[in-house]
Amino acid sequence: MESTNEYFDAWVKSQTQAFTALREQGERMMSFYKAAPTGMQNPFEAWRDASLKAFSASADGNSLKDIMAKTFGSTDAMQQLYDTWERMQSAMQSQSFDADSYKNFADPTKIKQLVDQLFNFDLSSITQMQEQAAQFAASFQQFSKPWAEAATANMNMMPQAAEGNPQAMLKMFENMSHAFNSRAGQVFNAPKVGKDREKTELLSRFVESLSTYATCNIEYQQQMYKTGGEAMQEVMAQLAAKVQSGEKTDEEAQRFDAFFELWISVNEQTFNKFFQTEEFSRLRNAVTASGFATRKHYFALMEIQLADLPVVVRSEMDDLYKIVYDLRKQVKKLESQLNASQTKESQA
Amino acid sequence: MNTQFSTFDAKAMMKQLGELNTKLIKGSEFLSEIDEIDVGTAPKTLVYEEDKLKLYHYKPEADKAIGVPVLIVYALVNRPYMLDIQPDRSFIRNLLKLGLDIYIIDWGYPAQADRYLSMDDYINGYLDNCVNVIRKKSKSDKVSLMGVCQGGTFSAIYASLHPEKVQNLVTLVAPFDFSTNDGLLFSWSKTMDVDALVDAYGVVPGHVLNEGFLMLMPFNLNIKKYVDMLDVMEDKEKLLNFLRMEKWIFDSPGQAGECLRQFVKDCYQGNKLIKGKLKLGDKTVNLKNISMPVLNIYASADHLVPPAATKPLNDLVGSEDKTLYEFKGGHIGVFVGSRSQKELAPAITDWLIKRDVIVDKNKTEAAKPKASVVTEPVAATTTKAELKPVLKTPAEQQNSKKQAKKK
Repeated sequence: MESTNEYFDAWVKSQTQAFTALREQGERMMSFYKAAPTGMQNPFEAWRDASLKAFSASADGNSLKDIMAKTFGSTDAMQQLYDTWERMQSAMQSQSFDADSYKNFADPTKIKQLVDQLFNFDLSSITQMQEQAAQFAASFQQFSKPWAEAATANMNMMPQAAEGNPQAMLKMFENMSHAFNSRAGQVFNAPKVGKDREKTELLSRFVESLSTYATCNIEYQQQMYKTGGEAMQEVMAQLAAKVQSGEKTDEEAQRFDAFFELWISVNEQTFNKFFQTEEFSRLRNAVTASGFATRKHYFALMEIQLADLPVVVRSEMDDLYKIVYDLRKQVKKLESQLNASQTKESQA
Repeated sequence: MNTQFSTFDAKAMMKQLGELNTKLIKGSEFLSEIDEIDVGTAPKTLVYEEDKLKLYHYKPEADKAIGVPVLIVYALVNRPYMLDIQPDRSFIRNLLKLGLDIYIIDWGYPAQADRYLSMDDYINGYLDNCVNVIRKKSKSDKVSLMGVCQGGTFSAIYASLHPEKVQNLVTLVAPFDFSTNDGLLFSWSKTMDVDALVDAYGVVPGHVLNEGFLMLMPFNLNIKKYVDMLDVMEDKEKLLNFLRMEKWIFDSPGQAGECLRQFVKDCYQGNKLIKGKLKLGDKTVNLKNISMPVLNIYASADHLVPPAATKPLNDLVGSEDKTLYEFKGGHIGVFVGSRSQKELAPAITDWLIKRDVIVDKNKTEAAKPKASVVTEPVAATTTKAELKPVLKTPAEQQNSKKQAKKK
């Protein structure tokens, strides 16, 4: 999902197409339910999987399956939550539930998946950009491997970081720093001569901003995962308090929708509290500013690559737009003066 | 979400799944019947075009209650059809039925070629041209401005630079004092590197800004809303309402980079508007120049433009006739909520009627107003409850003046 806007476009299309086909798939879907009784242990998952399987079996299965997967994109988050609730449900009913047992129920990996989905986190895109940086730099140095290794190692460490493990966090910084110093750093120090000098300098700026972006983004994501974990802990604490005080917990224990409402409310409050901190503003700004700088350097680098080809590039178009803007403004001003003088003449 | 997956009873669960399936099938039928999501259906005529901008004139739905035309100035960040989202929840249709003569600006969708457009271009260029077109077309020397959100800020700036062309200024949920940190948007914008953003994009895509708006309530706006949608799928009207609102939320035009840069730097970060330091071209904006009647409307539960950003306008303008109106609700509720239709639209119309002066350029004397302009100072903290007593007939005003002289 590249953006919410794109998601919505895809969502509307998928709703229209998928639900038109749904009636024809009804019987087949029910047969899958009958054939897979174990699916009933998780009805939401069963419903989703049955839908996907049913569509896969049709003539245009792959595309329909893809559409349905997109349709269920937002409700996937619900499934992650449902898994958590399912595991703690019986404990709540048996009154054995307390806040300390939080980790038995809340899987950090699932919290990470939820947060990733909600805020469009995608570490693979950073890896992809790092690989592109490496390709650009291949003529100067061979340094792609440490970057890819560092990114992969960091992705694997995310669940620990999501739990607030400071050592995992430090290790992730160390990985990025090592990759940067051992390879990109060498490029920065390489002598810059001849016609490649501009390209080399630009590449250095690009790699530097990408490195800053990657580092900030890891810290930002880690804070978001941590906040997600805290929110889940707060949900558990509120439920545990009810259980221990003997208060009736029928709603949250027996109705997933009641638990869902509580979870939404607590998460919104917890994240809002974090969003109001200076720490969040600093992190968010660091991520976006370095991301924008990376984008700018990347396009400038692309322009250099295209310089010898007979194509118009962005900066040239921007120059043209500026000329058109200035000219248009002058024309409007002259038109206005002309109209005013004509009005004066006609009144005279 | 009401019942899906709510218990572990297998029979009940199958029943719920069956019900959900029925909803989906009905939803599928409704969706297949929908050719397009219709919004902004109140009849209107295109009266002026300039670059991407279009100026529309709404077809009157009742006899004119006032002589001075009203120009609605919407924000740049969203599409103006929010004010006419659907026939039975249309703020504009309500105003038309109450007798207002309404024009509206559609700023359009800026392309990369528009990246250099500045606040000066939008306010002293496009907006001023629209006002002049309306003045000429309606033969009225002045126009009443009704600015919404950022459009309200622009309207106030325009009114301070061109007070001679503005009869009344009505602002709805518009920010003026940017020093507050009450809303996340305000605290985030203060540390935002807008130079990096504009330099990277030129025209900043709508989805980039939308990501920020969704972050204000991520769980409700990204998850709960869509889960709740499952419940209304079997109701065609509710499904259509949902789709219309979704269409509006994600129909976000890009932002001309230079205009956005100045708005964020000078307003959100520098708070120059209320400090009297905001410059547009070679002109400095002084809110004290706003001498016409002002109706400033804020929403008590506005999470986008908090009341603290809106209310100070009344202390900053030079007008003696100024009214502060509290709408109990949120930012969007001001336009689509049932209270908006029942209470706010009539209140605005009533306020305008009592301040209407028909000034015909072709006549030497001003036409007799249907009600007189209130000339007495009005407390800046006037609320809706106090609004009615503030509105005075000409006779009442004369009496008040006589009494004041006696004192």
